[in-house]
Amino acid sequence: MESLPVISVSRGISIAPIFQFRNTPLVYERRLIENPLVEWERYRQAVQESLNRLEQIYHQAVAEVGTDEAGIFHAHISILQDPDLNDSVKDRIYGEKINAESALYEVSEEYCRMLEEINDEYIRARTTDLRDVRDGVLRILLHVDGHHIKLTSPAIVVARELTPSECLLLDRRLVRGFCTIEGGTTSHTAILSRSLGIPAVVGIPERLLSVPDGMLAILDGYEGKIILKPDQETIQHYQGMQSRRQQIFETALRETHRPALTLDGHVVEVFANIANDNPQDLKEAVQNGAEGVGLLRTEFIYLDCETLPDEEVQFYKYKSVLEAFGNRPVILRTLDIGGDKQLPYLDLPYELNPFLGVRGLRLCLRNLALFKAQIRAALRAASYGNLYLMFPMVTKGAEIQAAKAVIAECRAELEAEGCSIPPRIPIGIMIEIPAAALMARHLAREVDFFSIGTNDLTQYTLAVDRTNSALTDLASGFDPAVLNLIQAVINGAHTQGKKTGICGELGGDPLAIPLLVGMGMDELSMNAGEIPAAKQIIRQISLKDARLVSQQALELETPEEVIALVKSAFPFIENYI
Amino acid sequence: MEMVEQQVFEQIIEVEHEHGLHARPADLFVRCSNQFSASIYLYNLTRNSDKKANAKGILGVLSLGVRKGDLIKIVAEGEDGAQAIEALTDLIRSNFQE
Repeated sequence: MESLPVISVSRGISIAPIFQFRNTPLVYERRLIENPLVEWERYRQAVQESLNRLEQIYHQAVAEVGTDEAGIFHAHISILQDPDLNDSVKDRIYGEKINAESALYEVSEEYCRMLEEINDEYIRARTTDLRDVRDGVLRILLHVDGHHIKLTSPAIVVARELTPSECLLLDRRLVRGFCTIEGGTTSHTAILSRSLGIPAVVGIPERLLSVPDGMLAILDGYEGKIILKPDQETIQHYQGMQSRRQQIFETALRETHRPALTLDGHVVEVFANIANDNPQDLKEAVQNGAEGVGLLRTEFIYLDCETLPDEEVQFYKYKSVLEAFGNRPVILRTLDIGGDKQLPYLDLPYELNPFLGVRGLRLCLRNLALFKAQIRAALRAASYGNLYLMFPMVTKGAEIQAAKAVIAECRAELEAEGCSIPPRIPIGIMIEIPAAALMARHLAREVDFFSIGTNDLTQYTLAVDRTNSALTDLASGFDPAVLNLIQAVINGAHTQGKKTGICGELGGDPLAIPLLVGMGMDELSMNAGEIPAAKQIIRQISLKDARLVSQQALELETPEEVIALVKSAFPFIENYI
Repeated sequence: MEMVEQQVFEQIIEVEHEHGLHARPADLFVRCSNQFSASIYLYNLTRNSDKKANAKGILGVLSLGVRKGDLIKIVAEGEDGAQAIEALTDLIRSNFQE
């Protein structure tokens, strides 16, 4: 038995044999060819084949891991379509009468050198993409395409490096883990592994690559360890851990349709965040026990369209979400564009500080035609379910009044057109701005509910741009500064008899749940996959204890102290992380 | 030999986008260029005004290393060259429609 320390990039535990993922090496000679025409045609066909595959992988990736993470394949397609790259290969095949493999290799390396010379990290990193694309074409030319590597039984995959497409093409039902030398937490492969729920580690020692296929190993993606030839005792230890987690997960899933009641009988509503109208995703949210939709991100409709989606398109999308949830509440958040989210077809002026600029409701109130189309679509869809409306990025009561006036105007228009709309549609706002949090008790008079967007509230409170990777360790929702604002929002709402929910990432974080419950949060909204565990955690705590712990947390100074406090007060939560 | 008069259009413009001509702006620029039959070339006057890149290919555009504040020259040759220049400068002026 031997234990190797590695860096975990995707959590989980696997016990399975090692599988060495060795792409047949790309071996070829630089040789002279007789007929450049034939060679060029061979190259062209390989490129076409490669493009077809990339497009297929792109669509698979969009479906499995989402548009953002699939973007890498889009970048690969752009490179493969570059006319200069292909012209240079052609010139070389004709000019030097050499084989396509050598021509492509030499040309691509020249491009890589050229890009590496530019003093810019982003551009230098594109050389990895260019080499991936190049190797894909070479494999097709040499008939040693990596696509033939197939797993026949469950295995932990070991490789020097895996391209995102290799990662995605392996049979997900059989892959028990990825171990590579190269890559980091933010590498494409790490992100894909996390989206797929497969444990992954990087920084493995070189010699792991020469371990024979079939050797039993344990991959511990919690502690960051690979254990080779584990002894019986170690296997049993990990099997125990696996089955405990499995059991915990299965129990949670089995129980998930029951309401989440604390030990002392306090009910907390658990909702799902939804970002599309894909029937499969909606069904999954219901199956995971979502009692409603705490955040319907309507941006998805706009971001997926090439041009501005009209009222009709939106109406059908909202209707399908509302119908999927029946009489459960669906909180539709009106268009939240601006900041890091942009719409190409809206010709919006450049802003120096877009996060502090015209975004969310501010933008809608300045583009009334856009806003009214969305409100009209939502009101028309309202009778197909239980619609709530919510506005993002609100600072002042006057903005809420202006938005409510638009709703009233749309309602009057639609009713005049003979449309029947439910008489009362609850109206709420997101609380993301510290000023709104501090003035919550005043704003509460204008609305029926609040929902706290902790991602933005955290960035605005701590003055940390959440898209700036250099500052990620400064931005924690567990920061007592943020927690105290959350408490102020809940108290403000409760003094007016209004409810408060949360729809940021913090809402689904197992360690945050006792704090939020203790502070009096009425509803937690999270990714559908997090719901079963969240409900189980709520069931194992009492409101009384949660209150005590959250009161202590509000007095602490750092996020680390808060997390340590929760862990020591509720040690069982470790099982859900 | 008959000489065909090729019309050449030029425009010099500053790129104001935060990311220069990288990532999404580069992609949009290349896509826009490909909508025209004219040959379109690009120079980064701020960094190396001798280096010419094909505006229809992502690698060429990236290889100019255009950053926020750089002056670029767009040259289009061909029948729809004028429209190409107009569309590309509009794209840059609109700050890539953001």
